[in-house]
Amino acid sequence: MFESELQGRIRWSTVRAFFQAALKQKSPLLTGLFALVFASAGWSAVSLYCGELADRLMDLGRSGAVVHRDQRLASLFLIVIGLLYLMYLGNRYGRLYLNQTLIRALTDLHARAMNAVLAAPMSFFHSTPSGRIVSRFSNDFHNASQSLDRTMATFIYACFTMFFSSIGILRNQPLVLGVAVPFALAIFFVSRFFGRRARDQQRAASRAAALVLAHVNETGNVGVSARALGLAQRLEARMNTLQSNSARLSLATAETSNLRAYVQSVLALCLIAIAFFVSAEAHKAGALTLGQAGAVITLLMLILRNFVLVIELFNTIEVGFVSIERMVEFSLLPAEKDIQQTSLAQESESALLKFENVALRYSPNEPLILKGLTAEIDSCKMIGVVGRTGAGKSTLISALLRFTPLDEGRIILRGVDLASLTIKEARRKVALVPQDPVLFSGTILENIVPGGSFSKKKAHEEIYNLLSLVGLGEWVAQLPAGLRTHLLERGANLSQGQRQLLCLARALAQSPEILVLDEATSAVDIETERLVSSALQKIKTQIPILLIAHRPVTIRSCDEVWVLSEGRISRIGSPQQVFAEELLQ
Amino acid sequence: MKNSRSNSPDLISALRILKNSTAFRIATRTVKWPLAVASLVLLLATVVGLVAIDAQADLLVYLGGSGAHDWSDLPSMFSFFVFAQVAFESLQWGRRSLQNRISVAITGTLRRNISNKYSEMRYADLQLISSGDVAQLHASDASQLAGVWAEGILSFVATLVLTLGVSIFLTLQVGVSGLAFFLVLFVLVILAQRFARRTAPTLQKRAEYSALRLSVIQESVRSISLVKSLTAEEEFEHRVAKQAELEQDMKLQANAISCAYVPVFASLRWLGWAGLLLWVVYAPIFFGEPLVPVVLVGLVFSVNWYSSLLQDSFLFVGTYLSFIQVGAVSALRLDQFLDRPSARAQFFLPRTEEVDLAVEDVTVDYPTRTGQWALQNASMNALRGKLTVIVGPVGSGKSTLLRTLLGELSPSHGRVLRRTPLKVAYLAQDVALPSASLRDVLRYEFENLGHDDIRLGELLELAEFAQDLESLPAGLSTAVGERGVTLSGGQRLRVGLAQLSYFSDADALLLDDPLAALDAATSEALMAGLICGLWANKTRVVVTHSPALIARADWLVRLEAGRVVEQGPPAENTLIRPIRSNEHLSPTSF
Repeated sequence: MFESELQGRIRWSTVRAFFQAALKQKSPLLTGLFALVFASAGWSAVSLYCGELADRLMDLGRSGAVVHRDQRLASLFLIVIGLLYLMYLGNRYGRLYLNQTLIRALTDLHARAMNAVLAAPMSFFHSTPSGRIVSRFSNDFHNASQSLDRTMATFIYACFTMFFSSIGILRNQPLVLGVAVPFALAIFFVSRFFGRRARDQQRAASRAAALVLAHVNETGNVGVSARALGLAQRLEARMNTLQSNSARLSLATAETSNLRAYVQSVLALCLIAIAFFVSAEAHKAGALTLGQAGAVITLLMLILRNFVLVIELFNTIEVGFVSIERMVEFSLLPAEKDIQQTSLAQESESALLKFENVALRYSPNEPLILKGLTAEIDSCKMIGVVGRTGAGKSTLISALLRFTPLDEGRIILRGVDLASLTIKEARRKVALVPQDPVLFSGTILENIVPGGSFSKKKAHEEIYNLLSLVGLGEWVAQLPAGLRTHLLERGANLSQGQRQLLCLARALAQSPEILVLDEATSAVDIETERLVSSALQKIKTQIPILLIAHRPVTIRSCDEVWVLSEGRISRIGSPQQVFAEELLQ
Repeated sequence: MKNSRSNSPDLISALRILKNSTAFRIATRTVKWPLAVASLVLLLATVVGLVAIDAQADLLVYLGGSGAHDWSDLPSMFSFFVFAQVAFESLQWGRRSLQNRISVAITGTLRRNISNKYSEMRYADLQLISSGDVAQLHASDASQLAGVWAEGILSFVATLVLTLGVSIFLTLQVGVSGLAFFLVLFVLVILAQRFARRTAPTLQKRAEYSALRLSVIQESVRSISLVKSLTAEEEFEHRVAKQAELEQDMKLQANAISCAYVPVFASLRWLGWAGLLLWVVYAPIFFGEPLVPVVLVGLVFSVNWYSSLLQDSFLFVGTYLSFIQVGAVSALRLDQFLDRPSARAQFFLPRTEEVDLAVEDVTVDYPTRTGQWALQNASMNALRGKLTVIVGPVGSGKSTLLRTLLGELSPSHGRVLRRTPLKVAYLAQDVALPSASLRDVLRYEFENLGHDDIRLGELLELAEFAQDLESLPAGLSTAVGERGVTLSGGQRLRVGLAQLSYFSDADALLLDDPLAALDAATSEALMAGLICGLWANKTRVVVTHSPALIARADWLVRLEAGRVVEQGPPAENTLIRPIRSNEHLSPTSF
């Protein structure tokens, strides 16, 4: 499954994907980087000028000259103060532009991940619970944003400061380099050792956090029945187990980083100590002026401080990149295969809908569910599909909506092979009323015309006609806000039956060529069912209806019943005939 | 939760909010001792840090005085400097470790509290909360409130103590320049406060937009097959992108404000240098006596070093403060959730012995539409050991009546009666199963205790699930997934029924349309085996459209537009008329 694949170092592709997103806005990114480089160079330069200033003071002191009349001293002071001022400007605009770029890049990444998730094939959703998906857009997006857009600028600034300070030191005291190399190597290896551990721990922690979030999401749904059974404390117990596991893992991650920072800073301190001695010896031997020695030491301290900072920030950033990696992974999800096959169907095909030897399995290793299903609808009528559980009723819907590609055979709708269309074209021709009547937050209008609500709105009259057809016309008309009445998430402020009728209206608003109802009238009472039935009677004069049903009252108005068993159609007949046969068995 | 208080917290009011916040109190209580130890370590680290700085300054001055001494003290001075630095780093390590613990402990406690509150929430309250809000509280707000202590207050105090220490230190060494630091310190605290006030509203809005974004994501991901069948992917991309962009605008605003304050916080170093300039160049004019060059050299480096040290600290002051503020905003949101009054169900005792559950003249408002009732002046009794069936058209209040009997909704008028003690079990219309193995779901047991698969198998057989069980890849160990998505609606119902029969000690059963989405043969078997079989002696209140079950009822209640229009035994009841008209289709025999 998805959660267990990632291990080892952060992949370059992740970092690249992120910076590609950032590079979309070249000029603010480059401006920001340039300003930060400028500021950090300034910082190191100040320390060097400090040295010159100190030496000048020494000279003046030795010669007994009047300090405040000395032009060179004054100009050195001015240089230092001017450099500091430029440094602030660089710091300010560097952060401003760099952070802007990063914030935008993250939003961009979020959008790409979201779009890829929505376009992913159904098999992805079957294997990934929604809590885990949402967790990446909540936990991971939050982490990435926390750890990157606040720290990246400081990180870059500190890195450049180290770089420029090293140049400053090398100018004055190249010997230090000989000491620095082995220590830098040691620090590097320590960093790699701990870093690997921290990353893997962080990934484990992310997975554990996703489980906790999934559980919390569930408790809202499961709570009512658990409470009725007096079992709410078991949900709490489960939460405690999951949360303490998650807490243990995130603490472990943080502690690894902490230990790494400690070991590295002590190593760096050793480096400084040795460099200090080298400089002191050089000064004693007269190879360095006092100002130069002081500058070297100050720069060394500067490097040490920035080094510790860089390590700490690096951890934070790395943790951020683990989160980014999880989002990039989503953005790289393969989209549904949208292969259009060349159609072999003839234009003159008389059937409205034809299944030709349709075979289908959900994944290569699983057995076939539909095993050569062949059937035909030749005129606009209502077909009821019945069969025991596992006979392939839901799979038939999967095939029609192209949720799963066919292994064999063809489905031909009004002379067009469904496989010859793009997935979207095919789905627009097939309308589904799902088993669970799901509505989205938004107005009734937005629910009925979800795809087109932002571009081509259907005329209100047309929508009212649809609503009247399903028996909701009067009810909507009497609502104070009419079509603009706001529905809550999952249509929480409607009854189950009202939701189902709205779902039917929504399906019809798609102007489909076939309507598929998936046990859609299960929770509708007999009178509403009559309303639905009479609506269906009107609809079936225009398009064929496929009704996946179980209850006799539902299919009694069907013109034809298909009995599905073991992936094939075993019997076609009128409702009365099918009833009669079932009675005999 | 969209209408959270709009007054934006500046630093003072952020602290006031935190002081009065339930969530923050819970957080602080959890980490009382680690906090005390962390403060101690912090103080110690500051002192040791100052000692290390002092050792460094001494070294520089000693180095500057070449020729005046024979270098014999250098090794000991240097060892002391290194020792102080290592001690400082060790203390820092301890402090960070404590901060990590504090942060994890607070986040964990808050998340547990959120989850428990959520699982305790009655149906009525659940309708007012969006799942995106809960995800936001869980993912962001809990950790942000933890940040108040771990990253905010502790670090801010550390900076203040360090600045104070260095200021005193410099005043003793350099006089004027050190006093300048005090002045700057004062100005900076005022500026920090202004900074905090400016960023607060953007932070609050950001949290709100984020919650909305998560709601939309959740909606679309949960109903993905519908979204795809409607080819509405772009619509949802668009909706999510809209919220993400609003959130991004807030982040950009906050960034612009905090960057505008960078030079202000950084001006410290500049002022340090200006002070030095005054002292070195102009003081001799007034005092005549030039300073010893060696002292001057030490001074130059000291000022450069200390001022950069403080500048760095102050660069982060804005971040520390924003941690406190963001935490305060989160505390407000968490409080709204955690302090939500959880109205306990109130039951009265029925007057007669044979009544188990009843409602008397109850009126129930829609949780989401105050003033509009879902039930009006409804009265009904559920007699002990009898099958009461509720029928009525869509939206007539059948599920509402069941939930009122269950105590999940509070009537605005009338009383709910319940015999005590009475154990009630409930099957919702849209059965939600926790994501776990089928075995654990049936037993509601998630700790992998001993198996009693034989008994579970029997129960599943009773619930007509035996055949389905065979087709499941891993049998009882099959993960039924979040909200039971790997099962069809009919399968979920049957697992729900099996779950109820596992907890067979319930006296009364409230079932909301238990036979929907089931074929006639299965319905018949369930009626014979469970509803009128195993449970024949229990009090049962069932919402159904099944004519066969209606025919078996001891008592029928018919609802219309939220009112009980008729009730009585089925034979003499007019309400079965529409069912009789269907009888020619022999509905029970399919």
